[in-house]
Amino acid sequence: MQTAETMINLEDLTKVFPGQDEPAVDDLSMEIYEGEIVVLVGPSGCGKTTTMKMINRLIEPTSGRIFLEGEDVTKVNSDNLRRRIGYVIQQIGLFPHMTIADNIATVPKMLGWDKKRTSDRIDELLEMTGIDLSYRDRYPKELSGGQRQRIGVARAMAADPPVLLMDEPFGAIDPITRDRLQDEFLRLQQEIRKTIVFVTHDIDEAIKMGDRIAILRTQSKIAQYDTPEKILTDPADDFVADFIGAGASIKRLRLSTVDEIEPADWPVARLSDSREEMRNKIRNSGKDYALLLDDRERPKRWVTAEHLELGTPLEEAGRPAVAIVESNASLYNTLDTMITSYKGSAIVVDEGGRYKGVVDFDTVLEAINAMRPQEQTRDRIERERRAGDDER
Amino acid sequence: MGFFEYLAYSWDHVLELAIGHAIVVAISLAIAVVIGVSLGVLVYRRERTANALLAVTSTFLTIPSLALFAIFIPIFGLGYKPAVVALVMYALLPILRNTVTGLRSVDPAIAESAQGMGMNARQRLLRIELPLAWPVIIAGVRVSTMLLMGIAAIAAVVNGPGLGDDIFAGLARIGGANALNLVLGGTLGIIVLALLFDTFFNLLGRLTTSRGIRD
Repeated sequence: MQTAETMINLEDLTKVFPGQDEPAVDDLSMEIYEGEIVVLVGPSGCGKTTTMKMINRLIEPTSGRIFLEGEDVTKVNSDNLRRRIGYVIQQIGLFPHMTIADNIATVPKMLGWDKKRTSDRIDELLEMTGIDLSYRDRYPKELSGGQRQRIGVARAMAADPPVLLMDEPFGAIDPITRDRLQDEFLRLQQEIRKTIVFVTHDIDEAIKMGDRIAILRTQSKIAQYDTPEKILTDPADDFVADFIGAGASIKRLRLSTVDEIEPADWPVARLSDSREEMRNKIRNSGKDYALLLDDRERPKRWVTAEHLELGTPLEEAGRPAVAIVESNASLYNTLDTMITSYKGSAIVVDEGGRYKGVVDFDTVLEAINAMRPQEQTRDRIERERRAGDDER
Repeated sequence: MGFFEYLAYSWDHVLELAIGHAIVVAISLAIAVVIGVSLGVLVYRRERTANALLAVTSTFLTIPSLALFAIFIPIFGLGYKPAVVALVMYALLPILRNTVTGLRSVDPAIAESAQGMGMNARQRLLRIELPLAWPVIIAGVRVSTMLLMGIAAIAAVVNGPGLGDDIFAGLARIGGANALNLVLGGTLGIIVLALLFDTFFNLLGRLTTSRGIRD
C-alpha cells in the first residue's frame, strides 16, 4: 500500500462554522492512497462528516488545501469537482421522479456523454450491482431499501470517478441486509479498485470495510490512522482502546480469512470410491471420520468406519456435511460455524463449492496463537511502564 | 319563459360571454403562474422575504373585489386591463404559497445528493426541485382557478368580459322578465367553466407529474 500513488491529500484543513468559536475540524492533514478504502470513524460530533464533505467541498474549508490526483482543487469550480467524485449518503437521496436509468445517468448527462454510451454504462452498472435490467424504467419507490442502496452506489459510480465518498451508506438498512450489502460492496471493490472515503460511527463496520481506519476525536483530530489489524492489536492510546471497545481480539478474528491458515489433515474419499478404500483411509488417518465428496468435489457426508459397515447407500450414510465455509470466510465466521457444528470442524470450500480442506479447533487455535505474541508483548511493555511510573 | 327555454333561445349569447370569461381567467392565471412561481423560486430559501411576500399577497385577498375593480378604473380604465390586473392579484397567494411550500418540502437528502453529484443551483432547481414541487404548485393553481372564476364575474363592473355581465344585468332588473334566467345562466355558466378548468388542470397535473411521485 505504501508504494501506491496518493489520490487525496488533505493539508492543514480547518473548518470553523460561522458563529462558532471552536473549529469543527482543526488542522487536519491526511493522505489517502489510490485504490484503498479509508474509513473515518469516531464518536458523533467529531467532525468526520464535515471532513468528508470538505473533500468534495460541499463544505468549504476555512483554511488548508485539498489535492485530488496531485491537483490542488481547493479553488476550482466545485460543481465540476463534484462530477469527478462519487457521492453516496445514508438516505441515498435517489430522485423519486426519475427512473432508475435516469438516476444513474445524472452525472454522465451533465458530462455530455452520448445516449449509447450512457445506456451501455447503465446496463453495466446494474449488472455490477446485481440489479435486474428490467428495473431500468422503474421508479425508486418501487425498490426495496437494499436495492435503493445499490442504485445509489451505481449512480455514484456512473461516470467512473476515481474517488467515492460514502457517508454512512449502510446506516439506514436492517442489520442482515447491511451485512450482505457490505460483503457485496467489498467484492465489487475488488473489481473496481476505487479510492473510497467512508464515514461511519460504527467501529465494527470500520474494521470490516477499511483498508485503513482513521479514528478521529473531536475536531477531527486523528487519534490513530492505520490498518484495522494494527489498530486492534496495537491501539495508540486509551481513546482508541476505548473506542474499539471490548473484545478487540475477537474482532481481530474477523480480519483473517480461513484460507490464511493451514487446514488440518483429514481423510477424504469420493462417493465413487470403494468402501474398503474408505475404511483404509480412516484407519490410516487416525481420525474417526472421513469426508465424502461427490463427483464435482462438493462435500456431501461425514462417515465413520461403522457407518460404512451398514448397508445404507453412501449418499445417505453417516451425517450430512453441513458446516461449510467459503475460503474467504473470516476466522470469526469459521469459528462460529465450528462451534455449532456436529464434530467441531468446518469444511472449507472454494467459490464453486469444491472441497479445499477441513479446519478444526486445533488449527484455528494455532492461528490465534500466532496473532497473540504481539499483544502479549504490548501488555508486558505496558505493565513495565506502569511499574516504572509507580517507582517514581 | 322557463330557464331551459331561455337557454335554448340565448345559447349563442351565453356561450360568447362564457368564452370571454374563460379567456380573462386563463390570461390572469397564466400571468399569475409566471409571477407566483418566479417569486416563489426567488424567495423560498429566504424565510423573511417569503413571509413578507405571503403577507402582502394575502392582503390582496382581503380587499373586497368590487372595491378593487373600482379603484382600478382611474388607473387602467375599463375593460380587460383592470379585470386582469385585479384577478392576477387575487390568484397570486395560492400559487406563491404552494410554490414556496412545494420547494421547501423537497427532501434535503435529495437536494444534497444532487449537489454532491455536481448539479449547479439552476440544474437542481429545474431538474430536481421544481419537478418535485410541481404537484403542489398545480394544486395551488387549481385553488386560484376556482377563486378567479367567481371573482371574474365581478369584473363586469369595470366592463370586463365574462358571465358577470348577465348576472349584473339580471340583478339590475330583478323581478323583470328573464331577470332570474340571466342570473341563473351566468352562474351556471361559471360553475360549468370552473369544472372544465379544474378537469383540465387535474389532467395537466397528472400528465406533467412523474409516475415516480404520483400516488
